[in-house]
Amino acid sequence: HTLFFKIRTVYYLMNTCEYNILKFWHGTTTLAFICRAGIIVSVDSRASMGKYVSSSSVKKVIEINSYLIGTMAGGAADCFFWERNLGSFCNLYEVKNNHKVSISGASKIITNMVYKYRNSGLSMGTMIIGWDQNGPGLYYVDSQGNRLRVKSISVGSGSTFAYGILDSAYKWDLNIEEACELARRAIFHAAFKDPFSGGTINTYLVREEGWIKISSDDIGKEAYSKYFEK
Amino acid sequence: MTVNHKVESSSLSGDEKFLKPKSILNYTLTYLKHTLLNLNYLVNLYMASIKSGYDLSTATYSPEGRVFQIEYATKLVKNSPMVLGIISNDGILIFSEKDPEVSRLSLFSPEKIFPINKISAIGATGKTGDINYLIQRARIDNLSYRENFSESLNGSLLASRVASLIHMHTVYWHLRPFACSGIIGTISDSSPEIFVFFPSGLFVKCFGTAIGKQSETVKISLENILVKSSNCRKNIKEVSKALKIVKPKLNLRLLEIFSLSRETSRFDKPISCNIITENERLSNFYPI
Repeated sequence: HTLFFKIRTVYYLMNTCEYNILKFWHGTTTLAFICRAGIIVSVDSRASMGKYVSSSSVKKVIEINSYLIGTMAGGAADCFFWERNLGSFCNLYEVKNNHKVSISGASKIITNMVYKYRNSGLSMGTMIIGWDQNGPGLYYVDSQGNRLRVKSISVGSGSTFAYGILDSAYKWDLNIEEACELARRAIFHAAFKDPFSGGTINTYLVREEGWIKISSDDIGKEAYSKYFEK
Repeated sequence: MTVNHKVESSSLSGDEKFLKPKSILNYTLTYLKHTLLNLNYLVNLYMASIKSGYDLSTATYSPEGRVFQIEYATKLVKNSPMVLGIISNDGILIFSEKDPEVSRLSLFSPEKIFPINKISAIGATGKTGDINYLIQRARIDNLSYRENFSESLNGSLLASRVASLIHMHTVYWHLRPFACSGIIGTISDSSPEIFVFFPSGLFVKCFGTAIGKQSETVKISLENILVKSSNCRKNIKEVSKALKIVKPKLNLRLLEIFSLSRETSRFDKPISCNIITENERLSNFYPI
């Protein structure tokens, strides 16, 4: 049940003969994009072990810091441990160097740490999200050592479904409510179609002052009637 | 060990005056005897303190609490060509003077100001061999820092790395201290900073300094320039005026100017010839 697809935001890979095929991380849908309102992060909350749904209330957004957020896709333990490790590294950096680490620096740190264990079976497809003095930063970091700076990305088995909603309605000029609604809609449709995603939709907003949790919406009959109304 | 033969003849004791050196063997024997007896006088007299062996290694202190090897290194730096650094409103300025003896009739002579990355540079005096090694290490440190943290080394981080390397060379007996001192100019978080480092491993953050020959007199005029707080471009004129007072025979070919300001998006080595000739014209125009 591993699905092989191209990542759409890596446009240069699409034009080469041997494109890098990235494995999809099981059983989740996470997405993030940057717009005028800030960085919107939205995740589902289902954990599946094969055909069995083991939990519907997993926290897939890891709050590393007051200004850094990471998402979880793939192996839960790997993501959780390495992002917490990154948090302690960022703390040390801030104490030594008298200023907060930049988001590109933080993503570089975790990429270098994980690259050493490249072939040992780690499974991680995470996004490092934050706001530093250079502006908003959204990086996709992989257990294979990929590190991409992107404006909008979705990771997980339901990402293809989420991309359909996200890309068709994405604009830079979205205010907070529209942007959160878009993110929720994308996750809902992904959870509806993809058997490995579901539970509740957790939405976060990241801005200059830090991150904040916007909402946590259950996917159920109410959501179905709301999104399939038209 | 320097031996002055005139001194030798006058300080021979009574017995030895009769032993006039007739043969080469005789001469060498008296020479050796004399040097072995008078070792103390042959060592460099420094503030009339008898060192007798406390200055042979960096790893020994004298009973007064001084490490003589480091002081000798700083003395070398004091007699080297001058390097000057100053902060302006929108950037940093580093001036350096090349060694006139080395640059005479030469097509190119050793540089004194080196870029480390796009936003920092080091201007150093002293032994060129030591300077080259130091700059190499600073550049490698910058590369590895970029690999790990995706940022360039700048500010007090760069200064502390350079200074800790220099300090490491003052701790072990098998290494001699770096005989170079320098000025680090960086722009960190869009604020210009200047650091000075010395052969003892000390580094100091300041608004402007000068190191090398005739640096004390230049520092006083630098203070007046800093009070006005103007651009890089204006400061170049002011500093060249000050330099002209201190060194009237300064050859412009030997002067290196490095400026890093908002006008130049990345670090740029000496400015166009127009500004240099303009400085010469201005400094000749204002009589001292």
